[in-house]
Amino acid sequence: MSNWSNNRSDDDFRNELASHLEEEVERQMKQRGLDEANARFAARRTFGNVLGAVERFHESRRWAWTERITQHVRYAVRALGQHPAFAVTAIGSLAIGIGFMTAIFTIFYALVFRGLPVPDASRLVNVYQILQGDYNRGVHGTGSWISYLEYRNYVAAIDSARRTGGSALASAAVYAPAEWTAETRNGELRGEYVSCNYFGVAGVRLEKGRGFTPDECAHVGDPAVVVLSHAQWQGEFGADSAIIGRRVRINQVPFSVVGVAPPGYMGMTILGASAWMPVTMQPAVEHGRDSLVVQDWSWMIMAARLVPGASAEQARAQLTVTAAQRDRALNPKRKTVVVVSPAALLNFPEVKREGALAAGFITLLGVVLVAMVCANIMNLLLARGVARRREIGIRLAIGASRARLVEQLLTEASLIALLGAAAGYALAYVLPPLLPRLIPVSDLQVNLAPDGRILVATIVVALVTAIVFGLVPALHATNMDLASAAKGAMATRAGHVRTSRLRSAIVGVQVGGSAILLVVSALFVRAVSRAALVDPGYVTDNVVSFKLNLNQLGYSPERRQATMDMLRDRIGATPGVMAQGYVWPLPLLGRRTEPVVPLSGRAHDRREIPDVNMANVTPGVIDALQIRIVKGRNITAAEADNASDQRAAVISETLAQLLVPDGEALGSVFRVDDRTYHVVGVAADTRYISLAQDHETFVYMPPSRRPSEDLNILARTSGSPAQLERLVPLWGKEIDPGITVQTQRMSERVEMELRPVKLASLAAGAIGALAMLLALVGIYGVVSYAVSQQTREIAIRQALGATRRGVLQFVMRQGSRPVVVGLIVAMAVSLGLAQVMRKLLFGINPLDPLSYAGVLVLLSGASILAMYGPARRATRISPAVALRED
Amino acid sequence: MSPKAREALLQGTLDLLILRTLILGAQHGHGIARSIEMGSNDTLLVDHGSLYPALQRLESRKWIKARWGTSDNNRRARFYEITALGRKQLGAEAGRWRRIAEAMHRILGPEFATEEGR
Repeated sequence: MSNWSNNRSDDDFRNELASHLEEEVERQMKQRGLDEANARFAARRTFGNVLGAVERFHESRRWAWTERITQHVRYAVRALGQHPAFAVTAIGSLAIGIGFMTAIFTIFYALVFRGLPVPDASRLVNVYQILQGDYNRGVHGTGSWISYLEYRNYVAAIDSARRTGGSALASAAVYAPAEWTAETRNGELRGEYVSCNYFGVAGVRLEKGRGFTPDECAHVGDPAVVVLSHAQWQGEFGADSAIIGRRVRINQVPFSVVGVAPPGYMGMTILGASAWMPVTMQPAVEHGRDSLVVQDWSWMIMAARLVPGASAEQARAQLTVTAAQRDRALNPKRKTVVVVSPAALLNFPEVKREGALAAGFITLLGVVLVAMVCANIMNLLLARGVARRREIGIRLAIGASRARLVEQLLTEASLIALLGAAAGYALAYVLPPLLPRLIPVSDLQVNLAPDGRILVATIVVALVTAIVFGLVPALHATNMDLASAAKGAMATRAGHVRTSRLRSAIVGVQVGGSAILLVVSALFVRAVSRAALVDPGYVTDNVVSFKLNLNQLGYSPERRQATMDMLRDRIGATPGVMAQGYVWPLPLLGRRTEPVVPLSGRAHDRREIPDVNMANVTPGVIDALQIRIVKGRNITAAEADNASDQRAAVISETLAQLLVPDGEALGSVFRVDDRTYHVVGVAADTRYISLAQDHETFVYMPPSRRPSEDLNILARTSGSPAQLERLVPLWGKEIDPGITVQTQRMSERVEMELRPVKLASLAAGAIGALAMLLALVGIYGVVSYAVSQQTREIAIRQALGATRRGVLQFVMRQGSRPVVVGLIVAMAVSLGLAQVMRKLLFGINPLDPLSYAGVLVLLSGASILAMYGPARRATRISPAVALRED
Repeated sequence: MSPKAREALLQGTLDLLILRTLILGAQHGHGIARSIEMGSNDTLLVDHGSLYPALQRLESRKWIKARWGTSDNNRRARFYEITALGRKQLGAEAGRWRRIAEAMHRILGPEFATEEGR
């Protein structure tokens, strides 16, 4: 005999029930005189559902739910295994959808949100300024960056607030990305000018040597000390153990190495830094250009440490007071808005604003893709619910509760979703590393490693999709009339009509979604082909540009001009070269805009024309690019060399229209900056700044004989561009081993300009095609099912004299309804979306009829084909057979 | 079986009836059901399928306890016994039911003649 106990096993409970039944059998036999078999039957009947009682008992136990889940999962795995085609389709399509989303999130997260690779990154913030009102400002980087003097002002304010104990910021450093020439193997050195507390504020402990000391930022141009990145030390200096104290020439200035950064640390800018020097070395390294003393010059980024417990908002409020004081003192018409953001690689206010559109577009694409995939799986599950009717009916009949079955079906959906997400997650970490390779800048410092937060996000997305595509089919599958379902007959007519309607609606969504994606893709394809065919107004074949680094070598303007001339003449003397000259900026690479002030014509017409694009060119460049002069003539070589006060210029037709609206632009005079120019020629419009931009206002003007920037040499050859690309850098080295020459073909520039749009078109097209395929499968399934359900109705129609043609039309009309509705909604959505994308379309009308009509024809045609098979089957129904069967 | 109508138990009454039955001494499930049916002169019908979950419920609330023993028919059976907590609960519940029944009786008044003439 056992003790009193509350902790019972299922078997114990079953024994109790068995004992009960035996007692009852005995009673039935004794009191009602039944034989044993009948008594047993009667006992069971009075008891009711024995299994149900056991099950309820089982579930009342505390840990039953874990066991239940395990059981569900085991059952779900078995159910999926029995239908591998379904499993592979569902999991595979989800993997693509979720993988795409995860890849996008990883990239955005890495660029915009992921903290910098420094200790305690959550307390590190970046400080930016948005200027409003009336002001003049030079920008080298982005407009929200700050000047060195502004930094000094902020630091002074922080220091005095800190002395009174009320500062939200503990310390602030500043850094500016820079490119130098060093006596290393490849000659180029990317680095940062930094304030001397930089490594302290960043919290970076050097691998070897030391960071900068405060007094190293005390004097301009002295001392010349540098910290190298670990990679630079390993790669360019052979991991020299005596690296500290070693001399290295940077931009011809002898530096001594004082430290090596820890492995993996590449600075705080996205391009990645290999070396750091005190900001006070900038004037010495850039030979005369002194950025330190310019008030209004956006070239540095401020990074600051929050005091523990202080918020970014408090820091912003304090710095805003400082900025407002400065506005009042220097320029009362300006208002400086301070922005404090958690430190990240790309958190400039401008990037966030402009990136939002692109991010929104890509995210929308991803959401549509995942929604399409969900719709497809939902459709498949609904179909499977119909096929599993008998199994589900039997399980309900033997006592499984509906909630329990829904739970089971949702477990199956979640399993599909989680497997899909796992595959997608794996896929995502194959995808993002591909993306930087497609972006035309090498050495991007972006950490695309998997991250816990993204993993959580992926799992959440997966479970949400599981509910999206799993719940409705589960409810539909378990909602049935038991008696008929167990017999294997179709459930109530109302039930299957509801399921059919739902599946039709899903098909509508699928068709609509794929139509949107295909229209977007078609617009991009049209834009790309248009851009490839578009005449930029200049030739790009066999045109090569050469970029020099003389600025960084400390050359005097005379020596620089002489060196450039030497190289240019040598290029000009090369057999095959037809024209060559100096140009800045290059077509499709950079932009220079200034206001143009008309000086001739009627007084009231002399209104300033803002933001006119311009380039410094020598006549040979206009020849080399074959820019067509429609009126007047090209600048002459003499005019290009002449440094007189009034210079010759060629302007674009669009600018000519603006400059002299109703007269002759030739011979008119205008002013840019402090110089006056007279128009000697009018050139046909070109797409110099961007292939997407038509009707550019443009001024071609000769460069100064003492240009502040390095000019590019540009040449067109009838011979081999590859030969020039190989020889010119060698000629540069012959003149001075420090000279590096970057070469690029114009056709490559065009290719790069088109690449993002090509990629977008490819992505939208591939996703659209996938979505279309899924939609067609859906259409086929829904129409087939409808035909099988309506066999009797079709037979009656035929018996009453409907022709085969009539039956075909009847079935197709039914099947078309969701397709038509889906297409109509999709066209409306696409029209809105296209307006948003207008900028990217290279002048293609966002309402481009060809794209819309093409997609409509394609999708309707494919839908009809998908319906035709089942519809044909409907026409072969023999009324006699069908009516007898049912 | 007699032609008299048998009534299904009202919601919530089964627990009370089980406790009342066990006042008389330990009993197994089948015996409890029979006692209720016979005690009510076969008016009340105990659904055997819901009896055991109810026993389980009472047991987990510590109103009754159980152990395996031998039945009158010499069969192994699980015997239930009321606990002190169960007695207290029975007192409270029985009082409540009496008040409800009394109130119902007062409202319904003397029995009406019905067409069935019961």
